[in-house]
Amino acid sequence: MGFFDSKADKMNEMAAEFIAEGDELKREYNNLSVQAKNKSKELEKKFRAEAKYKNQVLAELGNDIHLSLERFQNLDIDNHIFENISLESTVAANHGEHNFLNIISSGMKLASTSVKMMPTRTDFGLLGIVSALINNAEAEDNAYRNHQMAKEYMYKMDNAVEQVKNVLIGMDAIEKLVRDEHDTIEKLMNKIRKLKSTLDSADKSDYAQAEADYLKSIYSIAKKIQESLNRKIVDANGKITADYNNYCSELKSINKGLPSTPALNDGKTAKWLELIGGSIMS
Amino acid sequence: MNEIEVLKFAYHVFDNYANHTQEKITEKDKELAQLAIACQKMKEINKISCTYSKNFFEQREVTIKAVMNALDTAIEMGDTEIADMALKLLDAEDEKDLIGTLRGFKEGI
Repeated sequence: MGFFDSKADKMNEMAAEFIAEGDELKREYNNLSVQAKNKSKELEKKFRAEAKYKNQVLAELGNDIHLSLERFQNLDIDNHIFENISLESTVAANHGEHNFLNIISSGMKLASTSVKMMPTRTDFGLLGIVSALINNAEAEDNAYRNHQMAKEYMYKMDNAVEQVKNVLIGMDAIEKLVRDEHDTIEKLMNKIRKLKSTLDSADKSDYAQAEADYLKSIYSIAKKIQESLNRKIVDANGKITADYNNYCSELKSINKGLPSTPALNDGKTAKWLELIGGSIMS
Repeated sequence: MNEIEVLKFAYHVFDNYANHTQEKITEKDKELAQLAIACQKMKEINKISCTYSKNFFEQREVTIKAVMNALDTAIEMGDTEIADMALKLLDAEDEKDLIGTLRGFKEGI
């Protein structure tokens, strides 16, 4: 009914709505945060599996394939005509698994929801008009502050939700990069294995010129693929781990900076017109 | 002081009070507006990041397929030049920094 008290009430109602929406966003954040935490655990497992796979690939490249290429090189086909390419040993024998433990620590708990206080109404005496009016102004001011505080909470929670979504997008991308890299390595390994078997079977006393040329070429291709694989495996690991760590620490810092549910201040919303009407009439 | 005068006085006090607090309120409103903009920006960044990431992997799939086909041809023909080109293309693909680009979107680069 009254102009001022209804304005304060409206603002307090809106504040309550903002808080409710903020709390809803907080629940969404909690869910996403759990997803991100699970995703990071999955990624850790995948990194470990990938490290083992890469170690096996490097061992195969460094042992079987390296020996085959070396043996072929020493075959001296084509009567020493072709260039003597020395096959440098670029394969590191032991690439230990990365230590991915303790990357994510606990601390994903969110501040618990505090009790919300809705404004209460104050009864005014006939002689307290001035203080009532000031109280009323205070009530509006409080209501406005409540409104702002609640809005700020809602925006901050909304922002936290988007931030954790951004982390999830990044982690998804890392997961796909790891998978893509694995597939590409496997495809290249299949090719080099085939080349190895061709080169292994090339151990004979006579070669036609075309056959010798072809064998020289595929030896060269096998060597190039081997180098490419070494580069791919050795270079990619550190980078992807650093990216992963970045997202994990980002997740922790978002969680740390979360606002807690604000409590609305007592608005003291006086019924303005009732108060004035009452005092003038009496 | 009659009731009307009391009312006028009270309204004057109220008016002063309101003006006094207006400055603080305006400052807070500005902060809230900035927060709302930051939030909207983050939503847009996430949309762009998803689209970019999707396109990146689609493009990568096409490139890797082309590289593998080229390598097959190179092996079949014993053509080291084709193998060279294919592997250079693969290296270039590896150098693409998807995560760096996604972070760049976020940092406004």
